[in-house]
Amino acid sequence: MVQGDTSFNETIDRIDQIRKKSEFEIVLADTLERYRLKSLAFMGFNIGALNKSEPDILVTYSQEWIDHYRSRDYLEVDPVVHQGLKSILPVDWSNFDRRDAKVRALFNESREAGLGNQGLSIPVRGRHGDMSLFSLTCEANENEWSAMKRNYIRDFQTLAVFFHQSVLRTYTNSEFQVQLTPREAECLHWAACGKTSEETAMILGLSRRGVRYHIENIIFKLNAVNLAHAVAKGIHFRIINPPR
Amino acid sequence: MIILVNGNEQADYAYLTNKMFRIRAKVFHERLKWDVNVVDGLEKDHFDQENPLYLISVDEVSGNVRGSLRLLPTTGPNMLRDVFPILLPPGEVVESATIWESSRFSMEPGAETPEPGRLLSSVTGELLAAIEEVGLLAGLTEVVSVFDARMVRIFRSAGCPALIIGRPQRIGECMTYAGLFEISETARDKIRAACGITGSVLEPQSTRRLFAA
Repeated sequence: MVQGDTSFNETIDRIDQIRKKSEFEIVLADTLERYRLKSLAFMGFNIGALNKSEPDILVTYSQEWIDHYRSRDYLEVDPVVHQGLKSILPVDWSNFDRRDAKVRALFNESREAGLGNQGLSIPVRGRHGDMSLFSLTCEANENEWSAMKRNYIRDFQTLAVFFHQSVLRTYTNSEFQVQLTPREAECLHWAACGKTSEETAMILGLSRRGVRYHIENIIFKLNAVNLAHAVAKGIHFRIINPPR
Repeated sequence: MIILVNGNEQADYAYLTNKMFRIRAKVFHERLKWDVNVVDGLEKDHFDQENPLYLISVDEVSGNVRGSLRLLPTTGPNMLRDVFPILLPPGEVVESATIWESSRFSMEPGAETPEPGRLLSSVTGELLAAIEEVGLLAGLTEVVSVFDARMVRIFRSAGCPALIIGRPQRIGECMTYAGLFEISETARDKIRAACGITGSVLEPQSTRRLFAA
């Protein structure tokens, strides 16, 4: 399941369509299944209401584990949170220092609560001090885990940012507004008319890579996963109006 | 070798980061005469407060800092959007989960001179190869950067030509460009081949400490 695959597109599409808090659970569970993960957790900081002492969390694991985690004050020692927010790099849980007894207990108990033996956390940084941490775990041996990271790290980066934006949108109730530049609108228009990037480049007198760059921006702005998806949304939102 | 340091770890890695800021002052203030802020011989700007990831080139034998650059996600504060939007057509931004920005690419004066028989200095090659390696570990598709004409030639010699986006502008004394670099195993291998690098340039301990590769 790499970017461009149907299931990845579907997942992104569903994240993008989330408008209510309750819908996150369904999409998280769906993502879990698609990647054969054991758990997924989204922790948002500085999103929505200000001065909150606790992060916004959306998780696939049980309320029982959340309550247990809270009662033990694991947030204080959880290296996932502390290491994860320190850097812009994804963090692999296998490298955490587990010499501290409380940290060891946290990981042992998390396994009993159904989390996997391997974990990865991806930090997301927004423009206005909003941050989040997208964490996943799975059950895998060293080789499987290496392959998983290599194959899906781009997917996970993208999912993390889409979840972040979706949470931001849902929690702040801001309307989703799309503004394409004239050049981007032209590229999207020609794509909707069935032209390839190469043909569009010739029509507009741009380089192929230039067109590809505009298309990447369009895809990002429209929260789409590929050009076909962007075309569909462009028509739906009446950004373009290609001939029938 | 390249040591990775988080912006918020400056106190723990004061020796490395101060050397880095000192070299930046020499390059951007003294040589290129950019309008940068230098205090006590150290060049820092407000993006250094945004917890960037520094890639610092250190001589394996002497332990001297030879050069550095910094990376910031394009989903957060970054130079292209916040300082150089003039380089892109109005309304256009580069903002993607899989594109980070590289800035303050610099090295100790003299370290940019290629060793005999090479097109590029080993420090330049090491820094460019490190961007590819970190980009692959982080799941990036591209790195975006603002740079001047002298860098265009360097990138070409290094086997990593930039896709120039937007319109180059004269800023201060130099022509300034915004460009995208592909992150891929192919791009990494091209840079390695052009720069005579055979394996990973990342210092394993710092990589393990931060990313956990």
